[in-house]
Amino acid sequence: MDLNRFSAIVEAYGADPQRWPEAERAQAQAFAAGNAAAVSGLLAEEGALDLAIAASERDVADPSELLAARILKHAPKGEARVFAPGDRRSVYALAACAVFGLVVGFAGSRAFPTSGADEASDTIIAATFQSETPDELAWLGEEG
Amino acid sequence: MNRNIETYDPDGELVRQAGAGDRGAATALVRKHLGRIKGVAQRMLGDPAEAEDVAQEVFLRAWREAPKWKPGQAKFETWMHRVALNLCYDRLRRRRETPDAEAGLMVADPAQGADEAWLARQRAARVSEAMRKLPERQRAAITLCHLQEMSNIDAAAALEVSVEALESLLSRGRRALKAALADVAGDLMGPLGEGEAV
Repeated sequence: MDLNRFSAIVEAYGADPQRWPEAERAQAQAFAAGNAAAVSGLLAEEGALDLAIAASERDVADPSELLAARILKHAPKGEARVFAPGDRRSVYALAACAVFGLVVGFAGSRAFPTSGADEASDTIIAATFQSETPDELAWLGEEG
Repeated sequence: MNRNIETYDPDGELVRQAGAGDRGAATALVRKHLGRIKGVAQRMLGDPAEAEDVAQEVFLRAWREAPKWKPGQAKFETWMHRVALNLCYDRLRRRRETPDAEAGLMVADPAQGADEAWLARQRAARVSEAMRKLPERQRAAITLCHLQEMSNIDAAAALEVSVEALESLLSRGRRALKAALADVAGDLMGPLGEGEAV
């Protein structure tokens, strides 16, 4: 590191060592520490410009929520995939569950015929799960 | 985990998840990058509405790329900045023949003349105006390194130039800014600027 290279770094990246090239930062900082008188004017001048550039930050407004919402509306949609393609064990397990469910259901209907009371409770349960609260409707509206 | 610091992309996993349709990952990417991408576009174009259009287009392209994104080729953030800059260059090219009638005007508002916040906004506008008058590539280099706080390597990648070329753009841009702000250096730069040949 010499004065020429140090000056080139500061004139390009400014006076803040955090912006100096990582590969040369330590050497440049050591050079500045060892040559304070020679580099103080340059650092002050470029530091002043750094402040001026930073001041322009105030001129940039944050993005609107509407913009974020518009962008997210077009984000990739998820696929409702339960099993990974080619996962044969998962497919066999699903088929076995289906067969088992059919067998148990058929045997159960023979052993315990449906009574009138059971039908009434089935109706209540079905009505309960079919209703949609205002919150649910609002959520559905947002997604749509 | 052995990560190469040059190629490790902190957004790699989020991009993969967003590409697979994970809404939370997409939201996280928007939260993390939208402000920065809109910021770089606004500094390049000087128009908030146009900057929002560019930012939206960058993300739409990101959503198209995400499902086929290959980690290790480029950092996602660098790629986004590159796309944003290219979109800005296109817009600047289209409007080049149409000078901005209001550029350079700083009209005092007597109702708020003594307000410090108003003065700060005026100072910011003055520097932004000087930035806008820089050649595009110099403006982009200063924006990436000084305002987006990108490393020289990432900024060079976003600009598709060598690190040496980036340094040249930065030096020339800063020299031009100093010249453009010389008349208001003391006011803009505070005590540091006073008495300096800026």
